[in-house]
Amino acid sequence: MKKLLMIMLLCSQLSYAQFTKAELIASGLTCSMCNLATQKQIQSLNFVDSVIPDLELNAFHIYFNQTHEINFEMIRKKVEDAGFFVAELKVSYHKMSSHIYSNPLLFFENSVLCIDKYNAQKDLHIFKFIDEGYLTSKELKKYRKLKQDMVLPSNSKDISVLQTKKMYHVVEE
Amino acid sequence: MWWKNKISSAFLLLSIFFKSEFAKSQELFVMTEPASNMPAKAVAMRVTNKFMNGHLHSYAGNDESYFMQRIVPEFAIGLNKKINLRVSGFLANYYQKSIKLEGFNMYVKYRFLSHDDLHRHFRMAAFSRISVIDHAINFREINLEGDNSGLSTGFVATQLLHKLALSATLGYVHTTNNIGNYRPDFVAKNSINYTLSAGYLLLPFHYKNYNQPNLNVYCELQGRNSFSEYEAHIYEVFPALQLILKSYMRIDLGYRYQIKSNVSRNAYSGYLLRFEYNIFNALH
Repeated sequence: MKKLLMIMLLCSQLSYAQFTKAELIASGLTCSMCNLATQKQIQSLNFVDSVIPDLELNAFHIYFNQTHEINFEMIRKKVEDAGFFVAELKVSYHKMSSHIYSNPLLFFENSVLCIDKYNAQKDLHIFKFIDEGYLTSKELKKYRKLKQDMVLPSNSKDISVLQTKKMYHVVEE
Repeated sequence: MWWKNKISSAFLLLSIFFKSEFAKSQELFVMTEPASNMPAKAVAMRVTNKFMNGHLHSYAGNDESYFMQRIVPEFAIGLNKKINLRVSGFLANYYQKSIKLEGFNMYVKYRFLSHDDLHRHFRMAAFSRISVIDHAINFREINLEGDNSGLSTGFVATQLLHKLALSATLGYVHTTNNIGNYRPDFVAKNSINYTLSAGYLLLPFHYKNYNQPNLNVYCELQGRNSFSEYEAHIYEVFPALQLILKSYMRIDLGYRYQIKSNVSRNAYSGYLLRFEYNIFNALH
């Protein structure tokens, strides 16, 4: 119970400022008009500071502001609103000592990352999302087994915290 | 499902025929709509002019030929990622020498299938159209875009493969009386429309920024068959060029040429000129 309270207390003080940028590749794009529509959708998010496109690769470099909470689900939704899909999403994360890491989970205010092979020694991490909606169907199949093998803690207190947060599965790049 | 794979492979074979290999592609067809939708909350305004040297048929016997045009202002909106709505009006001098408002048209499209991958996708959508037109019906040709009041519904499937886009449409059309004018017996109540379209991105070879103009070339085929004792068929080809400017403006220039038909019409060939302006994220 003590551990649980500590986690909840610390989580309430955390922010998403540690995520500075993301690299997103969209699938199904046809033309620069489609790219522009996708960029405008992503740019409309309040936690996005700027978006730099790479039209040749259908990639978008998304820079986050420090004032709003980052919602990865909303990024996916905006790409789909433009009529396309996320083929790859990678985020850059700067380790903060205040963040709770309980193997394999890293806790944030409203979300939790379930990380495969987290290297606690590193300060800068790049996480690639492997959940449905963040990969092409081919890539999703590739990561299915890995995702199933990610063992969640058996501690029931941790699980009750998880129920209040959105969980994403990621792999360290 | 097995049939999705079958349709997908059929498009794939067609693409090999067209020898598409690299980069991205276009499916902003000039005469038909693709299965893909415009983005959610986006708004598009377009004006199309379908013009030709046409022939006005008169029951009184004083037929005459002159420059005919049908101006079609259109407003389109992406209600959400799956539903598109288009509303258009028709202003034309096809049936009298001065231009007058002929009627309105509403088109709704629902995208129900998406298989996307990098630089390619296969999509299917269902559509419905309703048209209200208020001039006399002179011809056996059935066209809900300005000539006949009625309803139409059908499916569209679009495959995008890098620079090449292929699309097929199958639609059922039911015509009614025009406002204040009965549908004559020689005009069929029911007919089908089918199209096969190909679009290819010519320029740019490499995308660098949103200001690069895109040049696309299209070739579309359309067949229309009506079933009644006055069986009518029209087969046409529509080659077209399209210029995309600053990634939000579009100019289309198309030509319509009748391959074969058994009906009399205003004209057997004609031109199309269109300007479109898109506002992304217009609605919040």
